[in-house]
Amino acid sequence: MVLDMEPIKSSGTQTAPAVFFDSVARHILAQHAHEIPDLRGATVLLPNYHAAQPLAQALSAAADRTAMLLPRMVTLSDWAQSVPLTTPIQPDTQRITALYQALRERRWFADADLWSLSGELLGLMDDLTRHHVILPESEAEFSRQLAEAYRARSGQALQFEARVVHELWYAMSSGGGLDGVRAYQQRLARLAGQTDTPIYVLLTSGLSAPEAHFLEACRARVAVTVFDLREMAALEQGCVVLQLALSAPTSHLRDQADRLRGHFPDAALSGRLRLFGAHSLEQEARAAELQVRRWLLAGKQNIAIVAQDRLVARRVRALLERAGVLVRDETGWTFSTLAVSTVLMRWLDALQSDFYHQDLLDLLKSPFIFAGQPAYERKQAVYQLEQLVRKHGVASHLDAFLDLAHGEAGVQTALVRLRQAADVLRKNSDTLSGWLRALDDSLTILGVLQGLAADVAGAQLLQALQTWQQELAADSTRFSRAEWRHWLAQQLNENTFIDKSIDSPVLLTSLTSTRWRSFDAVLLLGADASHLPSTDNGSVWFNDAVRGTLGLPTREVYLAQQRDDLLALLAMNDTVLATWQASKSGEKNLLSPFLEMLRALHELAYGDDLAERELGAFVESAQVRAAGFPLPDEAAMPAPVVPHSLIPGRISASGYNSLVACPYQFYARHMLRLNELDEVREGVEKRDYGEWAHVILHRFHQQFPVLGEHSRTELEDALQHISSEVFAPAVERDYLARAWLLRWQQAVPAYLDAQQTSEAEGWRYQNGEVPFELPLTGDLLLHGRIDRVDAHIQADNAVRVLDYKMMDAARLRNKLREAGEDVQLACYAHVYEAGEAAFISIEKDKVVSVAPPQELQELAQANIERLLAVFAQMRAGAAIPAHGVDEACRYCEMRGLCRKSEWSAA
Amino acid sequence: MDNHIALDPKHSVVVEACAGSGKTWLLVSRIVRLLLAGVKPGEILAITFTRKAAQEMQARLHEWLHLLAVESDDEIREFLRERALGDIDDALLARARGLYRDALLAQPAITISTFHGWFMQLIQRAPLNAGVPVGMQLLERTSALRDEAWQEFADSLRAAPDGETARFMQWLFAEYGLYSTRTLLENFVHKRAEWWAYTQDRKDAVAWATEQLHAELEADMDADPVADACADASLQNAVQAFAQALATGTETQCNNAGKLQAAWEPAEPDLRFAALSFALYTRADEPRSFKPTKKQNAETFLLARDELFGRLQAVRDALTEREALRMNRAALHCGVALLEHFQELKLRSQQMDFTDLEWQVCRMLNRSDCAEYMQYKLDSRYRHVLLDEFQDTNPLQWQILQSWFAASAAVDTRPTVFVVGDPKQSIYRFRRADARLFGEVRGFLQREFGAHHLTQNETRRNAPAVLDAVNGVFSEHPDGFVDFEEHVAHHRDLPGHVEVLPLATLEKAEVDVLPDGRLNLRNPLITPRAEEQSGAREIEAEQFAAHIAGIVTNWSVQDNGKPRRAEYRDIMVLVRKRLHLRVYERALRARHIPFLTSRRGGLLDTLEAEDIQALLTFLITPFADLELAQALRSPIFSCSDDDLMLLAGCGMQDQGYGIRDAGSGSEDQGAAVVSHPVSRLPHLQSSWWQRLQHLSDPSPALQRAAELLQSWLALADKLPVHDLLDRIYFEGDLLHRYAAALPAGMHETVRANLQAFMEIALNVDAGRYPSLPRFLSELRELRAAENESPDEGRVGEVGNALRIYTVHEAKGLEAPIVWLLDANDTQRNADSYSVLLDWQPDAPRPAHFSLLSDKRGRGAKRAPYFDADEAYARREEMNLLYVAMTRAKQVLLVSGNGEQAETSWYGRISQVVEQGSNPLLAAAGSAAPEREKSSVKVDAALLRPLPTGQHVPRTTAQQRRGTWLHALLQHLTPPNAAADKASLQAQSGIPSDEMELLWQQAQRLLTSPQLARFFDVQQYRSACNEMPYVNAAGELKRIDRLVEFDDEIWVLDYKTGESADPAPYRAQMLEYRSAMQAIHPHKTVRSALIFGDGQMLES
Ligand code: SF4
Repeated sequence: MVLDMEPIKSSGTQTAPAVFFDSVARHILAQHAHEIPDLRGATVLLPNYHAAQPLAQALSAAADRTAMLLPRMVTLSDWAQSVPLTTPIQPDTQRITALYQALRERRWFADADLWSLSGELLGLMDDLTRHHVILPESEAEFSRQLAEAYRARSGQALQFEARVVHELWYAMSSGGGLDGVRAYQQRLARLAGQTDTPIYVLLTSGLSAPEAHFLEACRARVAVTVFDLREMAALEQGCVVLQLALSAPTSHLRDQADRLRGHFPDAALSGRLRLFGAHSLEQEARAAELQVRRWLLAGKQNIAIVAQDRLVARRVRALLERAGVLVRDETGWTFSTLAVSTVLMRWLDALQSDFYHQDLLDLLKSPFIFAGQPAYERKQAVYQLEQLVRKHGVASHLDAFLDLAHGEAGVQTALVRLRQAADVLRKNSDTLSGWLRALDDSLTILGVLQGLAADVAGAQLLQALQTWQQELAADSTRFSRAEWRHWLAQQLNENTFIDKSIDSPVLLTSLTSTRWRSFDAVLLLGADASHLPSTDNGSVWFNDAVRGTLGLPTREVYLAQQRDDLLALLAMNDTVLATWQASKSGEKNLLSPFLEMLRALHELAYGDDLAERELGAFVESAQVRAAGFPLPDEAAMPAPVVPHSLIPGRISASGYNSLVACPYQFYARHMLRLNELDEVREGVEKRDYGEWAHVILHRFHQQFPVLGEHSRTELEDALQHISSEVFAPAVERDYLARAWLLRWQQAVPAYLDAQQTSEAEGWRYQNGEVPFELPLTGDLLLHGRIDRVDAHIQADNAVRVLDYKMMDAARLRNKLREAGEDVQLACYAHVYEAGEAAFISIEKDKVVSVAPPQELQELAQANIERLLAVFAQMRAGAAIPAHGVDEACRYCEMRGLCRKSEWSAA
Repeated sequence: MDNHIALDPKHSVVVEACAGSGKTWLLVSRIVRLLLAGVKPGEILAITFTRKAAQEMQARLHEWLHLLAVESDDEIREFLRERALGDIDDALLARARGLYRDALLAQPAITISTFHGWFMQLIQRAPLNAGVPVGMQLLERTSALRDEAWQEFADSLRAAPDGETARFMQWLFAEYGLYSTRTLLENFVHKRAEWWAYTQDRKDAVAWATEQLHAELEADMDADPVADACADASLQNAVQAFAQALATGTETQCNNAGKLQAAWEPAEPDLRFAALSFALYTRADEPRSFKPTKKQNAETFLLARDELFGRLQAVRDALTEREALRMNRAALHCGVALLEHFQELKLRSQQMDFTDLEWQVCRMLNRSDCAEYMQYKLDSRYRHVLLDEFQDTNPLQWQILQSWFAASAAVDTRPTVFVVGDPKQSIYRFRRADARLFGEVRGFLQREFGAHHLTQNETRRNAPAVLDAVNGVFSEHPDGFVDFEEHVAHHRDLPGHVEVLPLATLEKAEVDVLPDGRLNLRNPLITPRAEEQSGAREIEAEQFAAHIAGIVTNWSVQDNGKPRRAEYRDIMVLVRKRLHLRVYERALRARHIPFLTSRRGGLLDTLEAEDIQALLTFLITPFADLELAQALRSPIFSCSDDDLMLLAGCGMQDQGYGIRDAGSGSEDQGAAVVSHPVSRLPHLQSSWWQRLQHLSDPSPALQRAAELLQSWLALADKLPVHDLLDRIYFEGDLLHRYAAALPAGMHETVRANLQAFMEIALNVDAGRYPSLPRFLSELRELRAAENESPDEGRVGEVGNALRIYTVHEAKGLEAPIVWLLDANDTQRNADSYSVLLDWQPDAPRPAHFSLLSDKRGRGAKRAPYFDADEAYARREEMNLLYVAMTRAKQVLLVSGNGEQAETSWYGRISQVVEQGSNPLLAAAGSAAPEREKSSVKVDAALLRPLPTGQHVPRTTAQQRRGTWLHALLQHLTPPNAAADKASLQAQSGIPSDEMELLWQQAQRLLTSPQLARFFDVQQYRSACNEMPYVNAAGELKRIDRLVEFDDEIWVLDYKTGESADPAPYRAQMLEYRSAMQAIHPHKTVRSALIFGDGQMLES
């Protein structure tokens, strides 16, 4: 008998269930009247241990004794467990590995996911065993059987299916190991042979094959009594509606309704069952959460949330926690959805991707790694690393990161540990247990082991890993890294973690585990057609017709079971709310057919469609809110007045542009000094292109200040050569960079043409990439870098400033159309007292120079004057408005600060 | 139309039914008739176009079957009569009443699905040897994978920079640039199903396809057309001839003549040809127009002109064909290479997308043995197939159906087929649907299935006024809209109205003159810059929003027969493309009109979603200052600019003081201080977060922010994203704070968006290996993925909002009031850098497949295909208009901007509609006012927290050992037969490192002489372990071991560890004893504690 049984709580007084337990108790007592108070002479088979307490209670009540020794109350599987076996049981991990190998050898399925296929097969094999199906000796015979069952002529496809199952079945069963299912059957057989006490069985649904077998065998020796809730419910007038609606139809709805009204005028469920159709996931969750709290307030002691839809359940749990209501979760979560396995998989990701920065940082941010080191040290290190990575744009390679981290002790040690851990796993193939051992070692080095051990789920995960390793220790099949990873993923997917850390009157559970259980109130979550009955998308093996003839359970059975469980749930509980999403993202979503049936009959018989009506109105208003901090005022355009301390003493041309485009943007960038995080860029982008173009032209002109002195071909070759040089590293990294190079090279001839013309006009290249700093007043300095300065040969010291732009002339003209909206050229002109200024537009095979339409000196003058005026005003306390035009706002990184879209709509 | 035939289960039928004629009614009625005729639900397969439609059909069916089950006999008779059932005897009635239950709980159930839904079922049951990969997942979002494939492709090229593929790519880059090249290849990948079909069972697909094209283009790659032409005397003559013709004319003509002469001068062919082209063609490459003057001999002039242009055009075409061929050779090669990467990638992740799915199913069913196998492999055997919206079917899907029919005929009987559709509503060409199929299939079904063909032009939806407009526009069969027949209204007296609003045009913006030449520049602190006048559209938007406001105040609509005040939800706004939606949305927002936008992927770009993303980003990168600043400014914390400046300010004097670790969470409250000072951490220079934590006197807002952020940072480690987010929403009081900060008109939208964001988190958490960083990077991907990123929350569902759809989305929907926006726009972006295809609906595979660059690259040889395409496109344009107009039940409003274009939708409609009075306006007075929400008063207790349940401390090692020891003892002591160590360990789940010690302890007890009498069968009468009993209170208790001697009874209770003071256990033991006493009144009951060290203490 398991010892870590759930604590048994007494659950108030329920009318419905008490009736059933009472009749069970009386029957048992009657059978054992002379043995009272010692009922050890009887055995009661329970669906689960929650039924034990109420039964005990019923017994003592019925017997009216101060104390009584109880019958053996046990689930069949636990009882079977007590029977010792001579041969050891072969764990499924071994069997699935064997199957995988068998499939791998046979090369039947090219691109299939063999692990999941093996999983499916294993399921089928167990099903066959469980239902005592023996495949015929000959494959031909089997495929004949199939053909017959399929009502079809035999064809290749069919023969192949037959072959796969047949061959593997024999391969596996020849292995001789004793699998779990067989072991169970052997134990039951023994048990049946040695039972000497009458047996009482609590049922809600048809017996499964092994149980049926077992009880048959027992009947030979002892009396076996079955308490089938379905039959009992039929006799219980409170449940007659359920019975009629959910059991196989005997007559039509209307006749049933008439009969109900006639014979059971007050058997209406109105007081017991309500249905709530929500218009969205959020509403369903909120309604459920609200109802649970209402029940709690009404003093309900134990409340079950039966989760057909896990997603909503998760939402409900979170909402309940808002109100301080914790939920005890009986249903498990598969490991693959837990953070504890995330760290593990991320580690393997990182290895596989050669420490791709995102995987790496994600891994290092896991709370489970480097346990033993204080958390803030770990974080310090990872943040430092991240900043370095972003700054230098390193995408992957552990070594590359190590170079970066030079001199950062914290980061260094972290990375070194990663390297050590990585070495442990550096191999191409091994046995599963070998891989697991290596994994275990690497985790130890990373301090993950320690981290997980400290966590409840983590500890269970480690336990599982260990168990698998032991189970597979003997297995010598070798697997590639990929195969192993796939296996591990599947394992994590199939094993679940049950969180026992919370004790609460509110319980999250599943339909099947409510058999013979009663609660003060039940919330049936996600009761729509797609979740109730829940649909498995059938196995690839056979179909129902075949399963039927082979003696395997069909979908029919599976559905009937859910129907019976639902019936039992409704019979055992007299306060139930079923919720579902009547519409899902705009699409209709149907109620569970079972409930729809019930609703129809009930409405017809008692004129009540069971709809829950008042809840909807409450949902929005009846929410718990966090302690009230005064709510914000309606958003309005910000207009900060900036203290002198924050007003910059220097400004660049682009800064000035920003100031003109939108003062608030300038404020955010240059007064708050905020800017975006650098992203690690992997592909080449337009701005790289721009930078390189600048570099290329600079180098070129340094070498060839005067083109006239060289032959055209020489110039072209040189420029092309420089171009390839500058692009080389990028091309090295990323093939697509070539496309950009080509694009640039297409512009080369045009550029030379343009340059030659301008030389012909007397302009000479003088200088490039010229940094400048020009004090405008005592407290404002203009700074920047000019792409290029030309001088004219005749008009002495006539100067021209140029700025390369990789965009078409039209856009540039547009920039310059309105005076003072793009200040770059004007500022440069001012700095160099230039007579001319222009953008050099370089697009495709066109190179055009675009000059501002206004008179340059005047333009420069006006721009500087305005700059000074604006700064003066800001110092004088002028507020700074946020009023960029849409064009400016579209790509503005400060839109989250000025909140324009909030107030501009108003 | 004759429903007797349409609904008769025996007949196969093809129904061509106009919009609003109740196709769903017909289809579901047919299903009911089938069921009545005793057809099993599992024998019915109904396929429609969207999941939504399928769901609605399902719902409608249930509704009707329910009605049949519960209503009175008369009502049922009426119901059946409407569905063309004549004599209705009681047997039939009885059957009708039974259908509800039978259909609801039937196994296998009726199949009402989409093509893809059904295909998925097929794939899951696919024969194992069909080469269909087993255990595949359906992939809904592909863009992320496509990017990855593109990257891998690029890497493969880098690995082999001199390989053939690389060289081809090089060439493509040079010719078309990176962007267009990628577009071209992606489009190829998109059309892969066609490509596979085209090149099916060809060895070297690319070579073969190129050969085909080569033959079609008749391009001679060795020849040099230019040289030949320039060498050709006849061209020279043509030039001369035309030059002379010109010379006889005006001065300009003479000049042109001269130019032409000159053009021939250069000897070098290319130069000569270029010169000629320059002389005769415009920059845009259009032929210059030359017309004869009065004095000239028109005939000879035109003759000479056309002769010359003819010859030049021939050369140009020859060149184009050559280029087209070169391009195809390269692009097909590279496209196939890219495709391989894409497919490989999906295979690796065990996924397939819709196209793969379709193709796999098609391939599978083309193998007759597989097709047959599928017939019996499925649990259902379809004897009746119903196809809805058939005009949207594509050739592959039709092929699949055909093979299915063939196979079912082979296996047992051929199903009856019921097809409903309307070629006039075929608008899914871009999803490879082909309206021409409809005709084909009709023919096929008539021939093979003896199907009846029925047409239905009576609509139950539109008011006569709307229909007049429809008939007016289409009765002339514009642009090949040939199959249109006059529509008639079912509801003859439904009040209706059609209105074409005046086109919004832009009054010329005055050019700004500078006062006395002096430049005075805008002062940005004072004057905002004037918005770019993109203009006309904004004006239309404004007009639109204003009008809407008017409608909801004083229009009325019919709500099943009765007039009521029009609401926002009654209005459906239709646009052809989403491109300009933002403009119209802005206008609506400005007037606080709630709407449900169709703009895709909006969610993550909304400010509120960005706020959350910023906050989350901060939580994993606390040095992200801008993100923090945004969170602070957002309504979550609503800090002021003064707050920000405070933080910015203290950045300046904080050099050197020790900073506490960013985001170290609660485990080091204030205590932990990183040893080294800032200066040694250049790039961790005190982040805003660190400053925030150290502010001397923060504002209340900053105070609150600091506290909440601190706790969230701690939670970010521990909680799954959704749970974290929920805490943030709750503790941050988000919904209320946003509501307070935003104008009322935006409340519902923002609330919906915040919840939509929550749902994303919920779904991601449900996925595998979740983590906050991964979540955020997934969001980044989603955001990048064009038209695959998550949409904004649906206000429409909750409240009362106007709906904006593209015409495509509006398919199958309707509304009392429909507004066609931007209807004067005639721009069609002719497709470039994509696939040119000729696949006749009846053909098993395409007859032509090639790639095209842009308009110039078309040439003469492929002209027929291009023309066919354009004709089809124009026809579909009409279909779109038809669909758009027929959505309107009562009112159709049309607006547009710019100069009126005859062929625009606006143009077409305005030509047939003259303004009439609006009956809905008149009726408004009598309209019942919209019902307002009833407010409920809430029990105050529901607004307060309700602490319930607690965390139970994790079981100590000690406790666990206790449990294990109990387990061992229980199994090792009689009556239980002693089991072997190993199995015991396994059975009770004892870790190996613990086992040894426990085992020894157990053995020590069992062998201890003092205890022998309790464990040795010889020495007692009976014993049992873990013995349950129930006490007077009805509580169930367990006794570790109960041993019965002749005269006394012993209750034994195991305790792990050293013996200790029994005091704490006294009460418990007493209870045991008294209980046992009650049961054995005549024996003395004694009890003892037995400790791990073998000590026994009687109590
Ligand atoms: S979004 Fe627009 S208004 Fe806001 S700061 Fe940026 S530019 Fe200025």
